[in-house]
Formats: sequence, structure tokens, C-alpha cells
Amino acid sequence: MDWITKHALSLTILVPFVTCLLILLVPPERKTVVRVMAAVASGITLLISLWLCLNFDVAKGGIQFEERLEWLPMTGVSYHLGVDGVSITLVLLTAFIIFTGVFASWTIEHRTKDFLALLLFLVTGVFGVFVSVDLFFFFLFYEIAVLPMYLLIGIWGTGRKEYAAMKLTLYLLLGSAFILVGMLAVYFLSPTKTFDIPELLATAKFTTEQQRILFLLFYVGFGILAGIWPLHTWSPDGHASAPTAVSMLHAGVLMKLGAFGVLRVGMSLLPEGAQYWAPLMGTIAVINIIYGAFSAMGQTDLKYVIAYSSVSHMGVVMLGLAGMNAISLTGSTMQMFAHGIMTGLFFALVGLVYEKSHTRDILKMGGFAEKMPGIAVAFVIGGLSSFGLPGTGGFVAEFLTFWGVWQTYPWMTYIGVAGVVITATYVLRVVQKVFFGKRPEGYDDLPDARTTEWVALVVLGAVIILTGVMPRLLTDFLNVGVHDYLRLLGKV
Amino acid sequence: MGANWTEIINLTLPHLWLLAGALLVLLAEGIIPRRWNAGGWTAVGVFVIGTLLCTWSTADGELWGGIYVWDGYARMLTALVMMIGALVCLSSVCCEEWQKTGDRGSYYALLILSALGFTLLSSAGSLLTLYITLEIGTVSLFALAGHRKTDPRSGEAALKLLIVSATSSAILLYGISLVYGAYGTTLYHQLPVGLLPGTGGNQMGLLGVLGMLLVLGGLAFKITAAPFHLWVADVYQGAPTPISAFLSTASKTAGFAAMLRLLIIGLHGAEDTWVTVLVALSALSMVLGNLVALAQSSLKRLLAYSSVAQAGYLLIAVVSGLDLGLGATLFYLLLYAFANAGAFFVAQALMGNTGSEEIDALRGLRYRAPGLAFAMLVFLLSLGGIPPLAGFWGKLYLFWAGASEGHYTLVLIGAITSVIALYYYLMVAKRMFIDPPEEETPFRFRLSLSVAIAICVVMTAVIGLYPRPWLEWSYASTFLTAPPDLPRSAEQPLSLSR
Repeated sequence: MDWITKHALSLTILVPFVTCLLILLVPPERKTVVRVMAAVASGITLLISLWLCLNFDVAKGGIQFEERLEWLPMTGVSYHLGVDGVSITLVLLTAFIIFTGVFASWTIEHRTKDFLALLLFLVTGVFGVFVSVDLFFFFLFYEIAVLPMYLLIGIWGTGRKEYAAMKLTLYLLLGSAFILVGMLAVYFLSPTKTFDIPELLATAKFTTEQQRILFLLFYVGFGILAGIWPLHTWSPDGHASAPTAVSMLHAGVLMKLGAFGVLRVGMSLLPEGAQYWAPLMGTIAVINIIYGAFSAMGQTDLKYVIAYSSVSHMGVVMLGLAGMNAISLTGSTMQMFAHGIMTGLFFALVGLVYEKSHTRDILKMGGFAEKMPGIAVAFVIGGLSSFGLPGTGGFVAEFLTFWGVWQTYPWMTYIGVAGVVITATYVLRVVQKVFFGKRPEGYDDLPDARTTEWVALVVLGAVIILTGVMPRLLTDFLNVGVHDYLRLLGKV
Repeated sequence: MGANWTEIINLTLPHLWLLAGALLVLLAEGIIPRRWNAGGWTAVGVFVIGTLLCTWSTADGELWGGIYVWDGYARMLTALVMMIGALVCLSSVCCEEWQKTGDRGSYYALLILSALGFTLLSSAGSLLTLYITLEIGTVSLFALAGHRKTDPRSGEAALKLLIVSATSSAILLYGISLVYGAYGTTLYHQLPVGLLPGTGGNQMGLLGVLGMLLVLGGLAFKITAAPFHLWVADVYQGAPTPISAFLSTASKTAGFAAMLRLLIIGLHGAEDTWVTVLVALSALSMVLGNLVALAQSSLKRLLAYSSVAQAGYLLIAVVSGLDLGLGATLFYLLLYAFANAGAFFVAQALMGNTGSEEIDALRGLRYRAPGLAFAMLVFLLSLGGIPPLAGFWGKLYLFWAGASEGHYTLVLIGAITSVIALYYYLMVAKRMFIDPPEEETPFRFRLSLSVAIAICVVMTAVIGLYPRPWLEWSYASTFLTAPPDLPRSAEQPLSLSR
């Protein structure tokens, strides 16, 4: 037990990885066994994440649950894990999404075993990224997550899946190319030649010019992952083509990783560079919000609507980062969590609707609420959070972000808030068109969600409302985390 | 010059063994019945024993006034070429492409002699040894490239290789004569003295610079750096596939081996000049190799252009100095050999079963030969630098070395072109794993080929999962026997502690 508490973060990586290996040993025709194994593994990671949250010392702040192992001594690479107030919420988010994602993939019949093994492998990488505080491992886990994604979308996707898989993979690798160069530069410019983020924060001093160049590298590299305009085009294609669980994980978690990378690596290591580029970041974020929302409005494919809405909502996250004050950063990090849960719920729902009605074309749907009331209710909850109605997590996040940014760049708030209105328009339009109105011919025996399908709906819907009603559950963590970052930015 | 026989044998044992091995193979093929493939198995044995001899002989030294050097560096690269030789022979044992033509003995004997030349290249301590050993290694390859006698493309490959090699040799030789004219010596040891005529600066006469550039140009053909790469695709495509594997790994390893010792020992006084030239070659190889590879429909041509790009990546480390660069180059050569040879072996299995080397012939390979498809995926991802495979560490160390010397632009080009490379690697992976097969018949290939491929997969995975001992080996092998006036202390191998 003592070992477990000391290595809780390692376990979040190991449990999915070991399960992935074990699944490979199960004969392919034993599909239920494989599904149960994946569900148990993701359940365990969820429990570990909750345990971490309960035991995180909010009064103390800083990086906690540290584990450290020298790895390649010559290089200054160490296996160094730890979570701060911000990354712990992202670990929790990942755990929620993968747990519900496994249940959302329950009905996959084609090569079930391979699918779940790859999904768990992907999750191994995602957890690894959030718990690493060594730049090198951060990068390594990120790269580990890329390949399974290609296969998951390429084999189990829908629509133009091969094109989308390739596009997504290449964009992400392009981002990692920038990150790699920036990372190596940080290493060689640091006095102690290290990748260790706490050590870098304590010792490294970069000149203003270096900071400006390096921040730009990290901003572009991580920004691609966060879907910044105009490098966002992989996201709608990729997310619309991916199988449900992968869309959930990718839009829900991995895009946050980009924003989190900008915060942890870019802004905290290179504060002067961040200040210098903040207006650019903010401007692009505003374009993201408006452009993403308008694009979502123009889609007829339900999944593309959600995918473009992610682009728009990631704009809110990036805008909050650009604001660089306590309120906007809290809002931004809260939006990472809130949007992750919300978009996870949306993709799960779209997957269900598609599975039952065999169409994703909004124009061909209508009146589904009558036949699938549960799905309709969950969709409305997600939608309300999407355009920030009070009582949902999205409201708290967007309100804080816009409030915070007002204090730094008021004009960005003026325009950004308009995005909320556009979001309301397209969400309500989709809800009205899909779930209400007259039901077209041929949809008379649509079933509602069944057994395992409820898991994602109930869990994620509950989290949205819970974080909306009791935002302190999250903001307690975020405040300490944000405070640490602000100290590094010289704002406290 | 004063060396006694024991010393000579001590220092040249692996090379002498290869020479004996070539004769042994001819003998074995002559007296043992054909169906036992005695020549092939003997050749595998010769290479394996040769590799063991390399690790066993720990004596360091020079012979004949320094024209032949046997040190840790030569030992590692000799062992590497011999390992490649063993794998190539192993894959050749079953190679149906030319089995029927009847002269297997000469095939293996020539392969061993070629390997002899390439292993000697890493020991060359003078420009003349460099030239002669290069010729020994290459001349045998003309015959080997043309070994698929019924296929006109094989003849074309042989002829192209002959003409290109002759041209590059001529350039090399001309450069050597200019260097000799300028400094009055061909010995690497004495060149720094000539390059630094008492001024303490990097002054080189025009004649010397021209000579050096011509020598580098001649070697650039060997390492297939752009723009000296135009022969690569045709030759790799036409030659018997095991020979393509040998050309793309052993020949390139030997080229780098020769180039590094020359640059570091002989030409370090002119570092500014050759760094500029090699930076340009590196950038050009990465960009051109990767872009042209995008348009290929033949698997062997794709691998050929990808190997041009790989030469560009390797050059990043070559220009990045002794501390990190040399070790990174050696490490990358090691892991590259397994991944690239493995990919060619898969191409060989493909040709044996479908008669086609088109990438499209790989469609649905997952259903027809799951093991083979998995192996190919491992090789491609390693070449593309995806963790946790060996290529990831290799690329990381190359880029690392580049960044340590401030070659950030080169590293950025490298990182971005790697993404292009992954596109065409993944297109191959897509054919194997996502596309449906055109026919269902499972692949059949000999056990020896599967063993060769399996060794490559295991090595790629093992180096990837546990890179440390291999890195240590590479960095320990950066110790070059060098004159005392080299800027770096030549007493100690690079320490691995921070």
C-alpha cells in the first residue's frame, strides 16, 4: 500500500500499459473479456485520479506526488513525475474521458481486441504527458500517443478516414518538430544542461531575444495541437472521422495538452517571450472563437459541428492564457476541464445517434427526442454548457476567462463574447433540428441509450452540472496551480 | 617498418580472417553438395566469427607508419559491417532471384571481399589506404549488383554503379593528388601539420582546399549525400535485394567511417571550410531525399531515397564536433543498419512472393503475412524516429549533437523533413494494415530470411527500449588514435558521466 501511494503517478501510466499488453494475450474472439479488462483498467485509473485529488495538499501548492529516477545520466534526463494544481485536474479529466470512452466503444465489433489495446496504449501516452515534469519524458510520451491515433482513425474511423488520419498525424508531428527544436535549445541554453522543468525554472535564465524566439517555437508547436487558427484544419477532419472514443479522447484531452504545454513550457519557462507574444496569442484566439463558431454553424454533418465547436472553445482557452492574470488563467484552465468533459459527452452522443439512426446529416434528422429522451437530455446539458449557461461548468469557465481578459485586453473580450452568441445559435439550431420538430419517415423504431451506453451520458453529464454548481471543486486546485504560474510570470 | 609478425596478426586478425573466409566459402561451395547451400552458411559463419574476433581483439595500434590504424573506432565499425554481412548472407541463402544461375560460391566470396574493403576503410590512416580499400570494397559490388543475370535492370544497375564509382574514384584520386601536392603527405597524422603551417590559424592554400573538396565530393558518392545521389535509386532497384541492403547499409557505414576519420584526424585544421560544405550537403540531402521519396511507387526506390535523407540526418552529427557528434553518428549508423537492412529484407520477401516490388503489392499484408507486416512497421517507424524504437534515440542524439553546436536551422530542417518522411512511411503502413488484400494466399519464405528479419526487429526494439549500453558502446568508440596535438585530449574515451 505504501508503494502504491508513493508511485500513484507511475500507476496511471502503468495500469493502462500493462492492461494493453495483457489484452494482446487474450484470443481475439473473447471480445467481452477484452472489454471488461479495458473497463476495469480505466476504472482503476479513475480511482487513482480521484485518490490523487483527495490527497492533493491545496494549502501547499507546487508540484506534488513527485517521483524521480535518474534515467540517462549522461544527458540529464530523469524520469521525473509530479502534478501541480492545473495538471491534476487534467489527469482527472483524462481518467473520466477514458473510463467513459471504453464504455462508448462497447459496441465495436471489428477487431475489438486491437482497438482496445491501441486505445489503452494511447491513454498510456496521454497520462504520461500530464504527469511528466521532465521535458524529455513530456515529449516522449507525446510521441508515443501519436502512432496509435493514426491506426485508430485509419482502421476504425468513418468517412474520409485515411485522409483524416494522415492529416492529423502529420500536423501533430509537425508540431512536435517545433517542440523538439525548442526543447533542445532550452536544454543547451540552460546552465545545468537539464530537461527537468523544476530545475530549469530555478536555474535557467534566458535572454529576452532567446525567450522571444523560443516562445514562438513552443507556441507554434503546442498551438498546432491546441488547434490554433490557421493550423487547426486537422482537427475537424480528424475528429469527425475518428471512432467515438478516439474523438472523445483527442478533442477532450489531447487538445488541452497543447494549451497546457503553452502554459507549462512556454509561459512559465519563458515569461518575457510570453509577454511579448501575448497580443498575437490573444488575437489568434479571438479568431479561433469566432471562426470556429461560424464554421460550426455552417456544417450539416453533426460530428463536424462538434469538431468545429472544439476549435472555437479552444480559442477561449488560449484567450485566457493570453490574458495572463489570475482570473483569466483560472478561467482558461477551468475551460480546459469543462470543455474536455463537454466535448467528450458530445462525441459520445453523436456516436450513439449515428449508431442508431445511421446518419450524421442534420438535415435528415428530426424529432429524435421522442424516441431517445435520455440522449436528448444529455445533449441539451452539453449544449447549455457549450454556450455557457449558468449552472454548468462552461459558464464558470467562460465567465472567468472573459472577465480576466477584460482587464488586460478589453477589445478581445468585446469580440470574444460575440462567439458565445454564435455558439448559442448553432447549438440551439442543432438541438432543435435533431431532437425536436417533425420526425422524418423511417425513424420509427429508434431505441434510446442502453445499458453500457448510459455510462458516458450519466457520468459526464453529472460532472458538467457538478462543476457548474460547485465550481470550487475545481477552482481550489486551479487557484494554487495558477498562483504558481503567475509567480513565474512575475505577476504576483 | 619494424612491426613484427605477431603484432601485425594481432592488429589485423579480423581482416585476415575475412580474406581466409572468402577462400573458405569457395572451397565449401565446391566440395559440398549444392542442396545444402554450404557457401551461404559458411559465409554467415565467417561473418559471425569475424564479429566475435573484433570484440575479442583488444589490442590498439598502428602499422606501417600509420597507414593502417586499429582502435576502438575501427573495431566498432568493423564489427558493424560484419554484422550486416552476416545478415545479408543469411537473407541470401534463400534468395530465389539468382539461385538458379549457378555461381553462388562467387556471390558469397565477393560479398566477403567487399566487406573486407569496407571494414578496412574504417582503419585507413592515409589517403592512399582510403582509396585502395574503397576500391576493394566497391569493385566486388559491380559483379554483385549484376548478379541477377536474367534481369536487364540488374545489368543496368551494375553498369551504373561501375560508371558512378569510377567517376567518384577519379574525383577522389584527383583530390588526393592535389592534397599531396599541397602538403607533401597523404598520412592523416601529418596533414594537420601541413594544414597549420606555423601560423596557428586555419590557413589552407587554394590547392589544399580544392583537394579537400574533391576528396569530400568523392566520399559523398559513397554516403549517398545529395547532390551525389542520382545513381542510388536505379542501383538499389536493379541489384539483387540483399545486395541493395548491403549497399544501403554497409557501403554507407564504410563511407561515413572513412569520412569521419579523415575529417577529424586529417582535416580538423580546416574545420570551418568542411563544416560549411557538409551543412549544405546535409540540408540538401534531407530536403531532396524526402521530397523525392514522396513520389515513388516502388518500395526499393522509396527506401533508396529515404536512405539519401538518412545520410542528411547523419551529416548533422558529422558537423557537430567530437563531443556529441561522433558518438551520435556511430550510434545512428548502428541502429540504421538494422532498420534499413530489415526493410530491404521485407522487400525481398515481397518480391519472392508477389514478383513485384511496388508499394501497392504490400496491400493487406497484415492478412497475408502478419509477422512480416509487423516487422516492416517496426523498421519504418524506427527510420521515422518514433519511440520507443531505436530510431527515436538515434534521431534525438543527432539533433541533440546539432543543437549543441548551434546548428539550429539544420535541426529544424531535420525535424520538419522527418514529418515528410513519416508521411511516406505511414503510406506504406496504411497499405499493409488498412487496405484490403488483393489475394488471400499467405506469404511463404525460407526460415533463414525470417531469422534475418527477426534479428533486425529484435535489435531495433532492444536498442529502442534499452538504449544505454548501445549508446555507451558508441560513445566509447569515439576514441581515435590521434597525434598529440589534436585539440581534444586523445587519452580518454568520452566520459559518459555528466
